[in-house]
Order: sequence, then C-alpha cells, then structure tokens
Amino acid sequence: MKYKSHIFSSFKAKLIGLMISVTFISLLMASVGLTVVQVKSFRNSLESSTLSNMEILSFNLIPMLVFDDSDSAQRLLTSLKTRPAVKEAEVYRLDELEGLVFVARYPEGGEHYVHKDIREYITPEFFGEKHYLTHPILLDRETVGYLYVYSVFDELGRFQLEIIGTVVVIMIVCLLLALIIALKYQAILLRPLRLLVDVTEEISINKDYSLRADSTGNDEFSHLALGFNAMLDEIETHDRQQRQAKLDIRQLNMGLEETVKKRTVALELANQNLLATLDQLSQSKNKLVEQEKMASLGGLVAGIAHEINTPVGIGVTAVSHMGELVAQLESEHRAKTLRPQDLDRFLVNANECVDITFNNLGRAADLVKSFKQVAVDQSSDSVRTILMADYLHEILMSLRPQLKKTEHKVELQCAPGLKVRCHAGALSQILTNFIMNSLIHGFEGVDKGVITISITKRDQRISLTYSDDGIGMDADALSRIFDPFYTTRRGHGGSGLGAHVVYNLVTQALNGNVVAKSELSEGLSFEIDFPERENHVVK
Amino acid sequence: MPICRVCYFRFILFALGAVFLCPSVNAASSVAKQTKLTAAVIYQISRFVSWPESTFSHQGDVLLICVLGKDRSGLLPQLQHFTSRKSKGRSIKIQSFRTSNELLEKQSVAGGCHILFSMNGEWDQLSDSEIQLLRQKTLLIGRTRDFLKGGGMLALILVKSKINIVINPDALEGSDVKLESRLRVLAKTL
Repeated sequence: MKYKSHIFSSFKAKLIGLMISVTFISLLMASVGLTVVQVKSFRNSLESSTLSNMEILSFNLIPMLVFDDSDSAQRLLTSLKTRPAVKEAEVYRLDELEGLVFVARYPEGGEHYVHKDIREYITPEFFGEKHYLTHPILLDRETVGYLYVYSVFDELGRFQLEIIGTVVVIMIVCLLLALIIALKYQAILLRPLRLLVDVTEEISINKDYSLRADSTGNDEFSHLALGFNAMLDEIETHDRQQRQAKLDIRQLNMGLEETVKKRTVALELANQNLLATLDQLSQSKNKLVEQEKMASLGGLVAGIAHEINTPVGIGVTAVSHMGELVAQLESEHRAKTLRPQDLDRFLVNANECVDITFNNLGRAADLVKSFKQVAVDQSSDSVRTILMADYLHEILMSLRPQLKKTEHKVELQCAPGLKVRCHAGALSQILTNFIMNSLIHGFEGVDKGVITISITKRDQRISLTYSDDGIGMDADALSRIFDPFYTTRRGHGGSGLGAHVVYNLVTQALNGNVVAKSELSEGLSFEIDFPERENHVVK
Repeated sequence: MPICRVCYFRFILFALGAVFLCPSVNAASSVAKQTKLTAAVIYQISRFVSWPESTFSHQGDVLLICVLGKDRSGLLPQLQHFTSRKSKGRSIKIQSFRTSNELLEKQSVAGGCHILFSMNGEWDQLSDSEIQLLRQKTLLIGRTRDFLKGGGMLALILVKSKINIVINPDALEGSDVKLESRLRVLAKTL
C-alpha cells in the first residue's frame, strides 16, 4: 500500500499542513488584530495630538475672538505651518446675534469652509488618512467660537504600510519556523505511527499475523499499538482457526469425495439393477400383454373351438351315421338282401346326412373364416379398409361363445355402408377387451345388460363410443383405469392389463385418444377418437 | 412770485439747524457706541485677569468694577448690563466714585475695587503712593497713554473706531494683578 501518492495523502503531510495552517491562521488573526489595534492606536494618538494642539490653539484664540481681533487670529493660525498634516483650519466666532462669524483661515485666503456645518465634526472623523475635527472654543464654559481643522495624515498610510510589511515579514518568518519545527518534530511524532504502518504493511504482504507493533511508551500511539496488537491476537487466533477449519473442510471434502464415489458406485449398481429390473418389468409387461393378447386369443380360440365343435360334431355324427348306413347297405348288398325300399331309405338318410354334414361343415367353415379374420387381425399390424358394420358383426361373432352364455345384448349403431381404413386388428382387440371387461366386470351382478357400440365418421376422423349400463366404477378407480396392472379383480383372473392394452392400442396403433367416463351404478363408457389412415403402415 | 419773508427766515433757520445739529447727533451716536464697546471690553478683560488669592476670601465674593470720575458718556449704565453675567464664575458689581477722595475713602470700606476704570480728570488727583497702593490688588484701566504714564496698568485707546489695548508692563510687573499671557499677546506695550 502506498501512502505517498498524493501531496496531502500521507498523515505526515496532513500534520505539517495542519501545523502550518494553524500557525498561519493564528498569525493572520493575531496580525490582523494587532494591525487593527495598532492602526487604531496610532490614529487615536494622531487624533489626540491634534486635539491637544487644537486645545492650545483654541485657548490662545479665545481673547482674539472675544476682542474680535481677526488679524491676531490669522497670525496665530499661521503657526499651523509647523504641522504639515494640517491642510486647512478655520476659526469662527459665535455671535449672539449673527451666529457663526468667520474670523480667520489657514492657509490665508481662498474660500473658507461653507459646504457643511463645521459643528458636525465636533466628533472627530477619519476618512482614510483624512481627519476632520471641529473644536469648540470655550471661555468660562461658554462657547465663544469654533476651530475647524482638516488634516491629512500621510504618516498614517506609511504607518499602515510599515506595520503590514512588518506583519508579513513576521508571518513569513514564523511560517518558516513552523515549517522547520513541523518537519523536525513530525518525524519524532510520527515514528510510532510509521513503525505501526510498517508492521501493517509487512503483515499485509506476508500474511504473518504473529508480528506485533512496538507498544512501548505511554502516548496515544502506544495505546493504538496495544489495541492493534490485541486485534492481531484475535486475527491470529481466527486465522489459525480458519486454517484448521479449512484443513478440516479439505479432509472432510476428501472423505466426502470418497463417500460420494462409493455412493456413486453403489448408485450406479443400483441403477443398473433398477434398469435390469425395469427391463425385466418391461419384458414382463410385454410378456403379460402378449399373454393377455394370447389369453384373449386363446379365449377366442376356445370360444370358436367350442362353437365349431357342435357343427363339426354333428357333421361327424352325420358322417358316422352315414357310414353306418353305407356299411348296412353294403352288407345288405353283399348279402343280396338289399331291397329297393332299403336303398330308397338309404338315399333319403344319406341325403339328410349329407345335408346335415354340409350345413354343419358350412357353418363351421363360416366360423373358421370369421375366426381366421379376427385372429389374423389381432395378431397382425396390417391396416386395411373394412366395412365397419360387417366387421363389428364378425367381432361379435367371435365373441358369441361368451355372449350367448348371458342374457346381455349388444346394440350396434353404425351406418351399413361405412368404410373405414384403419388398424382393424387393434379395433377388434379394443372392442373385444371392452366387451370382455363389461361381461366380466361391468355386468357383475347384472343379469341383462346392454352394450352399445356407436361409430361415426366425420372429416376423416372416426368417433367410437362404447358404453354399458353396468355397475360402473368410482372416481378413484376411473382415474387409474388405464394404469397397467390395475384391476379390481386381482386373484379372480384379472390381469389389470386389459384397459392398459386398450389405451396403448388407441394411442399408438390408432394414433388417437380415449376417454373413460363412469359413475358408480351408472355404467361405463369409452369415447375413442382416431383418424382414418391413409396408406400408412402401423408398426 | 414774491417769497414770504417769514417762510424764508424759517427755511434758513432749518437749514442752519440741519447743518449744525446733524454732526452732533452723529457724534453722540458714535460716543454711545464707543461707550458700549468700552463696557464690553472692560467686561471681557475681567475674564483674562488673575487676582491674588487673598482678593477673594469667599467663593461667593463678587467682582467689583469701579468707575472713577464723572460719567458723561454713560459708561455706568452700559456696565450695569453686565451685572447679569458672570466673570470667571463670579457675579459682577458696578460701583461709581465721582472723585478720587471718595474712592480713597470708600476703598477700604467697600473691600477694594478689582477693576478701576478711570474717566479723564480725577486720575490726576491721585498721588503716586496712592496709585501704587491701588494697583496692588486692582487692575487700573484708563483711556489714554498719559494714564499709563501716570502709573496706569492698561489703557483702552480708541483708534479709528476700534479700541486698542495698551499695557504698561512696569505697572503690571509691580502689581499682584496679572494679565493672562494670551491677552497680553493682543495688547500693545507702552
């Protein structure tokens, strides 16, 4: 830190400046005061001297005024030649009748003073070096006249110049002395301060708080040094504590870093485990979804198998019966016991069997065909154009095994010629899940429920509304209806993935959105809105 | 047209009267003025004179101005005007002595005059010793240089309607009565 950057920035300069200033101001005030007093005193002495002379002159003028001897008065005034300061003097006699009467003037001749009443100068007045005085001339305390004197005291000006010059010289000498004394003693006075500053600078540079200022002596600087040392003690203690704290913090940081590393490793491991678990969960979910799909498909297959079983069984029965008839006909033919009526009966029975078999196999073929379409749609991602009403019937056909076990009805509201290009399998699975949910959950405890499926198309957007008049669900269950693995029938065959699969199919396969609405005992409805596909293949 | 003899005589008388009477009127006026001036000068002189301390034994003693001789010019009335004023703080009293004998007789009785103004005539009746005695404590004022030569101390001599003060230094030296120097500056010496 530099203290000599400015002329008055250092304490030394300030101290010297202060001493010089105080000296100068003191000297100036004293000098001015003394000068004023001296000048006033000198002026008073001049005035006093003038007054004394005028009193003498007046004393001598009295008989001249009393006896009206202006010549003598004039001669007496001539004595003023000995007083060069007197530039003008006039004598007036005070007459009872005429008032002021001019008697004599110095210098003789010229105009006597008439511009102003001389009696105004009975109190003497100074105007710079000019002095005006009117002295009353008294005889037995009776004013017999006035003596007016105008003086110019050149010596007053000279005196003023002399005294000012003397004062200036004294001031300069005193200031020089003060400067010398200030320079001499500031070093002594400021030595403790300089030592203190040196200590501070060294501490500031080296950060060595063990240094101490010299506090010997009994002056203010010693007290300051003592205070400074006490402050240094505290700073040193704080510094030591701070260093220790820094060391502790550093060690703590190092331990913390180690701990963080360990924790990071553990977290990474946990993350890996979590990722693996998540992956497993995802796989499990996909597996479950697939299982759900397969279960759905399996149910479909089981239903279809059950449905096909009857016509196929009838067909088998008819064919086996016909085989028996053929074997009987053959035996009779071989035994040559075959009669025409037997043949006719055989033909009738055979035709019936054929009809029965044909009809039942045809029905089975229809079932297989329907199953095949639905199954293929559900197991593939193909987008195709469907006649919506027919497709809905096919879906219902595939679900007939489940539906026919109940008294619930499905009502379709769809324009007969409505063609929609979409992911048919997704739509099939969605409706299958809806219907199965209604049958399993919605109509629990309901004997005759009604399912309504309504499909409309507007501006290339398809609106599908599915609703049942089942038991519905509360708001909490409704808010979680699309969550995976959420089910109200866990342990009773519910996987909790049906609605979730629906949500995924709507949002991903159909690229639409689905909203579920329900209240307890008020049924459940789903509103699905999705765009009609162009030539787009859904992954 | 014939002139009336009586009227003519009267005119002559008037003219003669005018010729002879006017100067006498002017002279009378001048004398009165001089008398008045003389009285004033006497009064003013009294203000510049110092008497021996024994002269005034009491603070209230008056200043006695005496006139010696016949007052034909009316000086006494003029001096009486100044009795209302004071000289050096003392009241003024005027006393007249028609003759020198009267003066000498009453001098001791009256306690002595402080100023004695001598009209012409009576002064010559006093002997030198009497004058010597008088001037010890009395300022002797006259009107002529002869008065001074006769032992007088101060004369008021009329010159061109102005009164000059003339002193007799010897007489003043021999008297206890002193004239202030500032007055002596104005005075002329015999």
